[in-house]
Amino acid sequence: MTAGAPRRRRGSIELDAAKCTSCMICVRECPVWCIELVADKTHDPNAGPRGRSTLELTDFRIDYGLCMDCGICIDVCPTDALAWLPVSVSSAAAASTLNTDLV
Amino acid sequence: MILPETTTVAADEWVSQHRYLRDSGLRFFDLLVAVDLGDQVTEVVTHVMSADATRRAMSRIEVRREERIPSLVEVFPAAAWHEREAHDENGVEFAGNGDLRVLITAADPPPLQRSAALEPRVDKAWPGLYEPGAVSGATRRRRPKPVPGVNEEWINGGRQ
Repeated sequence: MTAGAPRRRRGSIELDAAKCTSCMICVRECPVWCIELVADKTHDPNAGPRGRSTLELTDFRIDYGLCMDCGICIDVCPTDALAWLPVSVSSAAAASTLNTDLV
Repeated sequence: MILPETTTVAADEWVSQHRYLRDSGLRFFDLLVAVDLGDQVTEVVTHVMSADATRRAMSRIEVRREERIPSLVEVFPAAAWHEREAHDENGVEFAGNGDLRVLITAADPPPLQRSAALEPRVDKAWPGLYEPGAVSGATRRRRPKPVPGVNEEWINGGRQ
């Protein structure tokens, strides 16, 4: 973190994968379509009478080449899994390399 | 700056309203902008003010896609440029403006109409289409809730 940076500075976006439920709300609300999410479903037949399915987040990519730092994904996240991180995205020679996996 | 109240004007009073404003001292034609409201309706707003900027007035008119609105050129010659821009970007037709030459772009549909799709929206599939945990190739049980700003025809990357 940069010393003295305001705590709510819009640097980059942080994901707490343990809180994410793969609900896709952020992906669908993003106005520039820069978030991509992949989750695997595992089914445990022994848990409960009908078994239990759980989603496991495997990929959560934000393309910082497209992201416009609007923060809508952070606002809409129902489990507060997304938050601002006051660390800027480092510059890159090609926009394609800014597609960052946060998991 | 505190914006003045906006008066909604009918098409047949559009010119006379501006003539009245000009004759009552609001002689500076500040701007004319157009916004696509969706459902084939475009809103055109003008802002005029007095030379010392103490008095202002805003007028708005709604125009359907196939309709034309009368040009303000005879009242405010400065409106010609703004009408040309609104014609270029939003496809608004101004009856009586003889100079609606292309200013920046001749795209069809005009780029600021909501029906105009950006190139990446046509090439790329909407990432929100993905259903977590779904078996690839299986049919979806439900369609994702549409989100404002995502047109139906863009959802499959233009391929339905």
